[in-house]
Amino acid sequence: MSVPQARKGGRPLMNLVRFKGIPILKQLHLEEQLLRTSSNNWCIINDGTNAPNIVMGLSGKPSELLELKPVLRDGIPVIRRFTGGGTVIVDPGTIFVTLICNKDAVPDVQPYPRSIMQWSSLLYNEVFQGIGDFHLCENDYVFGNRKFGGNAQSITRKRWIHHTSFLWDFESRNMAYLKLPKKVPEYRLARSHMEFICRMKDYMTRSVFIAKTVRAIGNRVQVHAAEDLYFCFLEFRIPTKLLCFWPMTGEIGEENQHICLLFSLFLELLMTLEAVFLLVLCRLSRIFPCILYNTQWLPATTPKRNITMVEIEIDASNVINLITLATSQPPDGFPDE
Amino acid sequence: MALRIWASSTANALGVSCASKSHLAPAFSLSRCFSTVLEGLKYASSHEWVKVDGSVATVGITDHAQDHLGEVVFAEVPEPGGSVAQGSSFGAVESVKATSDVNSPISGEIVEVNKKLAESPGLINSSPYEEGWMIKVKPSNASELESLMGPKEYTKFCEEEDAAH
Repeated sequence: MSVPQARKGGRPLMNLVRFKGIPILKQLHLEEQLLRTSSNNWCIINDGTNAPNIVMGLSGKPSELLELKPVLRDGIPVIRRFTGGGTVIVDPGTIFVTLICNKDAVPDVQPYPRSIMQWSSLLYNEVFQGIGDFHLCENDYVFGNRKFGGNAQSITRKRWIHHTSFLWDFESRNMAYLKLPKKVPEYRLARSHMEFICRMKDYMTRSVFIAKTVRAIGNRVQVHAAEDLYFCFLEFRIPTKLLCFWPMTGEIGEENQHICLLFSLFLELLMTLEAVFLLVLCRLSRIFPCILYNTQWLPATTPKRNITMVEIEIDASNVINLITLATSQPPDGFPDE
Repeated sequence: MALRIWASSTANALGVSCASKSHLAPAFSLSRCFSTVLEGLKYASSHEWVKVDGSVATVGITDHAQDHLGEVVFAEVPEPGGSVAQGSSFGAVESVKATSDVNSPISGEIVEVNKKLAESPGLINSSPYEEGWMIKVKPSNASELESLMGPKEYTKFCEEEDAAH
């Protein structure tokens, strides 16, 4: 099993992984795993998530940040992620760009929030050069004085992650799930959500944005389209959690409570069954080539998504490797999940 | 960048003047370094400090670290009774949209955590060596202290780190 070099020649190597429509909870779990258990640099681009989800920072409190009644009424999942920062509501109109770096890979960047954001703002300056008065304003990406990209970081001893959710488009009604936070940036003034944020689609298409982002990253590191993605089942604390509703208190809280524990155990069982199912299908695919649907276990109404053909390999260390062989649009008539 | 560090360190120095009233004395004046480094403490390269007092060691993050992190809005500390290993993460602080791991400079059993940080995480900024302490540990291996830096070494380490960026 080959492991990509973290540095090739003079420039650091960065593995590029592109998704379309994977659930944000799965993306966040993947990011945490890569931050904590990989020694390589990664760029993950997820072109839209599958369904609306609310994502809070590590210290976020649902009762302070969310309009709980409509959130519960409409069954919007609430996730507490492992990075800092504020609360966002993401959906298929959100484009995610994540950079996971060894500290040594970007030696002119100190592993502190401001230094990382200064570096990333230079990268996105290149993407949006000459467009819409783009700049980093008090830690937000803005056109003029309207925010279209929120970012957050997590910094470990030797690595850091900087991930951004870009509002390429959004449903105005979804903003009603969020309260005005107690702490707001000064440039927000007293503006409501709709007056404060804007859509990237008014400035750039999705495909152009992604292409320009990949090019800008490639100007700084050597981009390697990742053909294999390693899932290492090492033990570590996972702060990212799908929060659960507690009917007794009417609160949304941690999943270490009885009902949520059962639910999380059920989801773990589903994930294990999915892995076993894919393993069996891949073994059969050696004899009967087939296309495997990119399955996901979170209940949601999903649009048709790309089919990803994968091969699963378990190496001598019992590490399960998902090797992406091809990604394509589903043919007409192919059943939705 | 240097001007920002100097400006914020000046503000910290005004805050540190209260801390210097205690038995912990500043090792160096502001003119020599941008952050305060105290005598009697040992320092890790990941910017945590440890002070051994009898059988208990107190751990926190340094003035240099809190200055670079910005306003701390949340501190995650473990429960007492757990164990820590030298160099491994035991908690995290959140500041300016980032969570940063806090690593233990020594191994041992956690005997006490600073419960004040739940309500007042800003103590880490205003009093990193006193009220902003994070955990107290019963060390399991006293020799680990020898691998840590003293005040002079840590000061030089910080200066070199800042100069490199």
